[in-house]
Amino acid sequence: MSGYLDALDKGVSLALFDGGRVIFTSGGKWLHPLFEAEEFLRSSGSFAGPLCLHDSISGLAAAFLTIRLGVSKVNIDMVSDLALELYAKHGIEVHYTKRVERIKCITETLIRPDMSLEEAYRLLRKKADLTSGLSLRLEHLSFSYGDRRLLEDVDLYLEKGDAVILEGDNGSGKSTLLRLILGLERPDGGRILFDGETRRPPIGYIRQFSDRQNFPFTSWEVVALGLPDGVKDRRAEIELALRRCGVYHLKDRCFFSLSGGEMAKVNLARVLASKARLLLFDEPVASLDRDSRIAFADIMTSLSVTEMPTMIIVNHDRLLREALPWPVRRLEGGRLV
Amino acid sequence: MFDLLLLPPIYRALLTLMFAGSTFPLAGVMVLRLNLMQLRYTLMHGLLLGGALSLALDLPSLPVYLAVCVLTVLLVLHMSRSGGMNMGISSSFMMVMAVALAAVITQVADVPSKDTLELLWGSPFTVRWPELAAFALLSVAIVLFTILDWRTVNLMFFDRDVAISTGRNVRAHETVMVFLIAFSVAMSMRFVGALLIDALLLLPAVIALKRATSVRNLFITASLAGLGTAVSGFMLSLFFDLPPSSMIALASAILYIVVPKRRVAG
Repeated sequence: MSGYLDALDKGVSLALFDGGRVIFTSGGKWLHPLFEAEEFLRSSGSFAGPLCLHDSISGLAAAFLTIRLGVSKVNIDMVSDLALELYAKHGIEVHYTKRVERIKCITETLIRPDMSLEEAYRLLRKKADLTSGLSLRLEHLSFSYGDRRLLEDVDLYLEKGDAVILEGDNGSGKSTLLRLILGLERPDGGRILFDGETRRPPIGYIRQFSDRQNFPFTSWEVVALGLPDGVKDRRAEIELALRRCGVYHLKDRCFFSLSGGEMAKVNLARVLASKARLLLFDEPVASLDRDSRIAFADIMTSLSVTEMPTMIIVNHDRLLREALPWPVRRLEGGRLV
Repeated sequence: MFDLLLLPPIYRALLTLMFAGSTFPLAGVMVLRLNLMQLRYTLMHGLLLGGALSLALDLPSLPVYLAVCVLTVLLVLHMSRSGGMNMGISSSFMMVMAVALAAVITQVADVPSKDTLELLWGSPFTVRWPELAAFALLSVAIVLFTILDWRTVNLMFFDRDVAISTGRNVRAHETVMVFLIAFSVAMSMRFVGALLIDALLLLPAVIALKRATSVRNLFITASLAGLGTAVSGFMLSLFFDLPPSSMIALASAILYIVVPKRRVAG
């Protein structure tokens, strides 16, 4: 096998080439070799290119993942019509041995050609169980403040890696719902299951800090608060989280002296460092300027296609809703609609 | 003056103040950050109740006062967690109750109120070896708690809800913290006097807050400021033959005035 147009070696189902040089092979089944190739590319840095790929079989799902890898030429032993259309739409040069109408695989029925790359990618990662998230189930949850019934028989199920935007009028119980999930309030009825269990795992939680407190937390110290116990290279983890949120330069600055946008980003870095499987955000961009809201949305988008924790954002902000292609649920009259 | 340091009451007092001066400000940082000032007042007034009880029942004052402190803290914690009152309100409630009960006991048992009030004016020179050992133990406990529980303490300082969201047993940590503060106040009241409580517990923390660049730095600075003012105030008191309480309080006040507040970018 000297080039992507040559036959695959025995036991190899996918091979990735940097120009004429093979850089990665896998003998895995289903879509796993493509996820492995993605991980390989992410951890290996840059290549001279062009990247070429030889795959044994490619339906629509594999085509989405292949395109997302950034390859420019593919050679496929058996390809579906829909996959060919998608490759053509993205300007990828395709060679194939056998063409079929569709690949007989249940995954193909889940994917639609009109999906965006990110949308399809999220769905496939969830199917491959490649998310860091946990499943969250709220069953018949109810809660009252005194005589006022705030939440009534609320049901919600989020699969591992799901992300949802929660909206509703002021006082509709959005923040209270988060507080119930966090264990800060006790429900009057119903239960909350995390991966099918009532035991509550560590949860990443961000709420708006708007007050300037006289206490000398540095940004570095705030992010350090998020680290899970037993982390070996604490400095590297904190630095990584700060850099990812674009606030490494603020590491020695007093957290409570930062602007609202900077605070939100440092807080986000804290949550990223925690590697929590469930993240809850209570109006994280309220009172942020437009650029900060866009930056925040970018990081959330990146999170939702990489680590893919399960996430709920309580939100009023139109820009954030438009920037995040997540399902929206509304709380009305104490119920989720 | 240095000859005086060879006298047991003097060097025991110095050692006591060194322990208290270097470690009580750590508890002071907790009082300031978690807004437990009202609890501190309540414990001070609890001394009146403890004093009245010990005089009325003819029991040793320290165990009775410590028992009153423990009971007060437990009631404050219980009310703040289950009665819909925050810790400030429940502390105020207990403060009023303590004073009221002390007044009733004083009246009913015919306890001279002057004797009860005298308990407020402890002196470091009255510290004996067992009390010095108790101060040392309490100091070690405060330092160990601060170091071993560093992450949780910081999380509680940052945001209580965030601390709970990480899965930590915040209530348990909070209880230990409040008891350490309570014992610091109780020991200070009984042996170094009411005046010195703020000078030892709070002023070093307030001074450190003016300069600290990080939370770690805040604790270290508070401890050093407390040790510095306690020792220098005590030495000045020996030199000028003045009460140590007032000299230490004065040293703290002067340090607070001369230390400029750090400019924070932002």
